[in-house]
Amino acid sequence: MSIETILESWSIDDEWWRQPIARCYYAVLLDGGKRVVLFEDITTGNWFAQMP
Amino acid sequence: MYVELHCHSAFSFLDGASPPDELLAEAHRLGYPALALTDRNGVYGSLAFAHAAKALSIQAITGAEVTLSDGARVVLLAESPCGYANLCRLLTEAHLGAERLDPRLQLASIAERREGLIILSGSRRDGLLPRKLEQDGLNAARYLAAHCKSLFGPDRFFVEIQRNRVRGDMGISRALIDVAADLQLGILAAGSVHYHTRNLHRLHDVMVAIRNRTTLDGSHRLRNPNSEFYLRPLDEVVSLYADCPDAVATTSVIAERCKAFDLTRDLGYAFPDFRGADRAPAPRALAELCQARLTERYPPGSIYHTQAVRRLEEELKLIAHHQLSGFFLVYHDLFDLAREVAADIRKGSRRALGNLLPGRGRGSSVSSIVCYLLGLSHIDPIANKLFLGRFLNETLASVPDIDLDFPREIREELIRRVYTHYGAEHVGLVCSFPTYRLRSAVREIGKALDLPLGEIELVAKLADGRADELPDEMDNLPGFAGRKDAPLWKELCQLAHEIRGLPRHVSQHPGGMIISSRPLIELVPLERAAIADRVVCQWDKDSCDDARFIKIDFLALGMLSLVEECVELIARRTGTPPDLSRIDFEDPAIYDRICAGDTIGLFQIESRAQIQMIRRSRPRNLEDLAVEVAIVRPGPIVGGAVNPYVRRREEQRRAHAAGQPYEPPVDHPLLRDCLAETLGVILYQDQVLQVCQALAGFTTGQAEALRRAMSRRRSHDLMAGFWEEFRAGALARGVPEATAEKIFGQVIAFSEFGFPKSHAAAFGLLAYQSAWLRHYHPVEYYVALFNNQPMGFYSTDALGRDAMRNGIEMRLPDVNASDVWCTVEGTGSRESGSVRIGLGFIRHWSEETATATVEEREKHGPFKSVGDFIRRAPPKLKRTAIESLMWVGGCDGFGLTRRELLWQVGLWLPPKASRSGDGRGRRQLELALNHPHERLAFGGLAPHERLLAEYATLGFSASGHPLTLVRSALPSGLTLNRDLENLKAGVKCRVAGLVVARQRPETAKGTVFLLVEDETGMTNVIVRPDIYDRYRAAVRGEPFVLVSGKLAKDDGTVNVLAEKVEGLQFGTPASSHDGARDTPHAFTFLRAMRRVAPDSKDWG
Repeated sequence: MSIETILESWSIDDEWWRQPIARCYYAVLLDGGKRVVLFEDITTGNWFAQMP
Repeated sequence: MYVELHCHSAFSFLDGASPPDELLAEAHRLGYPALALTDRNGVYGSLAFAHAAKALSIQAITGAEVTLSDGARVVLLAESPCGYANLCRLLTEAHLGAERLDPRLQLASIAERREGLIILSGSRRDGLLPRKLEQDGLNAARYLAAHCKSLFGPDRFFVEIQRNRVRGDMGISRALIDVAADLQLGILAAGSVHYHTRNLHRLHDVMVAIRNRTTLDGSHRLRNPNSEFYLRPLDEVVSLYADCPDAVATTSVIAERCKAFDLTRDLGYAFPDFRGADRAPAPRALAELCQARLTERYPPGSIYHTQAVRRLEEELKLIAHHQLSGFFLVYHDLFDLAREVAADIRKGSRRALGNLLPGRGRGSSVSSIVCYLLGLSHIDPIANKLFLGRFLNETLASVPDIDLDFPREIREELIRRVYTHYGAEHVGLVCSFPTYRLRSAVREIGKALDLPLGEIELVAKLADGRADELPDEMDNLPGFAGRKDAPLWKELCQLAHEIRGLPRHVSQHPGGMIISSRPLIELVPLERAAIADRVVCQWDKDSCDDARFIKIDFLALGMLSLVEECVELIARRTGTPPDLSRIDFEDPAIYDRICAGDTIGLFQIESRAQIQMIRRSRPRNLEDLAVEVAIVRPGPIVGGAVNPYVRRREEQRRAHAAGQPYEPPVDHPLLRDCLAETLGVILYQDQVLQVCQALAGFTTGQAEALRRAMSRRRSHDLMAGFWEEFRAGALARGVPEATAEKIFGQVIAFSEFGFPKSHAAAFGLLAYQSAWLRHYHPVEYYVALFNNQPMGFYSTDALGRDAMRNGIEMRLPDVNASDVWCTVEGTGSRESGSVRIGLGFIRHWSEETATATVEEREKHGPFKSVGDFIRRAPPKLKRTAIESLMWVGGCDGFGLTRRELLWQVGLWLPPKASRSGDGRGRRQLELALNHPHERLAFGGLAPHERLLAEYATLGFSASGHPLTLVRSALPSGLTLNRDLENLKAGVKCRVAGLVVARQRPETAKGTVFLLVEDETGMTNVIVRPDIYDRYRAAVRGEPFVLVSGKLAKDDGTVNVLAEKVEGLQFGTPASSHDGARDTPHAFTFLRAMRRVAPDSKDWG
């Protein structure tokens, strides 16, 4: 399954005083027409798919 | 090329984390050709921004983000001088037309004043168009954009697109682009910058939490979701807007349009004309006025006549050269206005005949003979050999300051009259920007981080270094060691460092006022001050100085209010007010007391450090007093002038006693003339300039530049920048480099606070007059001193005991004898006189209730009983206030004990729980009470209970020192203050007492000074840094301390060098019955005292 297009991207830097959350989000359109939101955890470099 | 047109600095007050100069430095690094400063509802930092930008060859664009009546915001940019004037008018309207701190503006107002302005549609979060789009949809946004287009015109209104990687940005920006395309409006890219580098987003988050008085967790929806609101590299911006390059291009077009206005050049300020400008040109009018007074002040043939004539010629020439004649004449007009105000205020009083001045000059203007002749100064500059160059010189770069001190009452009225005289649109007070310091940073950031309040308060109270030293400070705090690396505390340390020095809010300069012939509201916006009916302009003294505004300083001086009241009280008793301009200024009795260090409560020479110095330098005339006023200041202290001066003064005294001349040593022969009168050291600001001229050949222009640097913020760096010029000049005159370096060190020490000689002379005179009044009219003096608190170095508590040590009886408030404030009692021939404390001093009483009570007594006779008092007392007087009066003995005259009085109050008045809203909730009171329990008998209060009651209800004690009551329980081996003088230097000793003042001056390199008071006087305790670190909690927090140390005696001073500082403690009572009722157990008493003891005065 491949990404057809990136619809939007945004980032979050929050809760730095507790357990920092730093993520880059991507709303993407897959080649089958499905929309999913992926994000990269900036601190670990791991990628996740956001639950719908 | 991209230009950032929406940028907040720290002058958005908790909505911007970078100061303007750091934004500019980053813009310069990134290659920005221009940058706009658009702070929230103000142009507070704009002039400093414009000057700093010029130095970096960046075009500064002046603007602001304004809040509309519905809370939405738009950005206004000034593209022409007219646009800037409209911007200032609009901001003024927003501030003065709405509640203080919540400025709002109608869109229609912007439309009316749109000329010369460019209007941007606002930011993603709360901008006019994005908000509409999010709240009401695309059609509503299109309708609003069309409305704005018709209001402002398509060439003035632009749709702002922001892309800060916030979810939904793309959708919104595409919708806005569509709206703009539909309506043929321009679009522009903007970054909504709130900090210059990404890492400051944390500080900005904290600021948002502070601004909304909540925690970081509580401000989730209010904070920006990410760290993208920084000043981006230019290529990054271009790629962000790759799909709409027009948005970037428009920013350059707008910047180009804004080039027509340069804030550093196009302000157009003019000072108003003087009275009579239509009849004579200013130079002639001024010369005539001065000549007429010259013959009065310096009659032909008098000792200073020739010098005065020469000096006047010189000054008039300089004044004409700088075209300042009108400026001096306007000051003369203003002083005439002050005379009228003073006459009105004193009308009908006895002091009206006392030859009191309406106000007095201070600062460098006192050195001017023109000011002296115009009445703006009361010190003879010729007789006092005052140097003019600090005030007026050939190359003056800015208009000189003329500062005037007034009694508080006169100043208040004078400010009102100046508004009326020149018109509200033409007058404003200078503002100031209090900045974050360690304590405020710890408290506010700590709350935002949700740290325990008690711990935050402890750190704020006990830590006393600078904010960037907080980690080290915490390491030294009991219970906080190691916390600097703990979660949240670590963030507190970092953020406290980052916020240090940033402006917190707008405040009012102590007295600076701007008057403009052109409406001031077209030059700088005005806004409401915290004090009702006052308005401040949005620039501080540095910006006003940069704008070449003429700042008129009307300062309120508490001591002048005291002198007014004291003279009035003396006149009431003796029938004649003393003429303080004609008292004996060489009175040995006065100087004897001053030299003995008996100066508590006097003007300027009362502080702990002053008393120390005065015992060493032993002033015997007004000139010496001027030195005394000037020497205990950071400038001379850091410059190392103090000890050499004292040593040489002693050598001079010995030489003169032996009938020999004394030649003070100087670091270089070129300094002999300019430092002769201060025995070879630099004590006055004027001498800094004289030294530079004599040693390094500074031109008047260089000296003027140095003078300006000396009076600015960050003056140390600015003054240090003169080293190369100084070095080169000195070397050219044959001065060895090492000598030049040493002397330059003394010169830049005056980047710290210092006085010009003229100012010291003016204050020295007032110091002597205060000493004279206290010596010859002590009761009147202390009454006036109490009534004019707060002022000076000491608490009312300490001042009261000093009065008692000087033989004055302090009488407690009495409902049938007290006035509203303190009054003089018993000054018959046999009595030394007493101070009767006023009802207004009692807790829960106000001036209003005290006045009403006194009026009722004067109208219908004395109060006879509790019932009678409660019946006749003003309805607003609450039960708590009546009880406070009883506790402090105000109704002892009714013949009952205080417990019986309090019991009766309980019978007459309902308990607090059933108290009604108005006053104290009366029951039926008109008929005499015949309550079965009315006559119950109770014993009186024991001495310790009375003392505690005084502290609880007055905040001070009128009946003695708390230690008197527990003296027998104190540890053995203590030395009383009065006995220290009899001990030999170096012996071990222990002293105990109440901490009256704590001082940790920056110049003392970590040493702390405590003034510890026992029944016999105050002991100066010196706590070295290592001892301070060991006993910090006691030194900073304990009201009563026990100090063990070594006695140090030097030049008439007696100090205790602390080796151990503990909180005073007693053992717990063995049982609840331990100790008789009249003699408290020391432990119980001290514990109660800790709750009510007044805070010591803490000085930096």
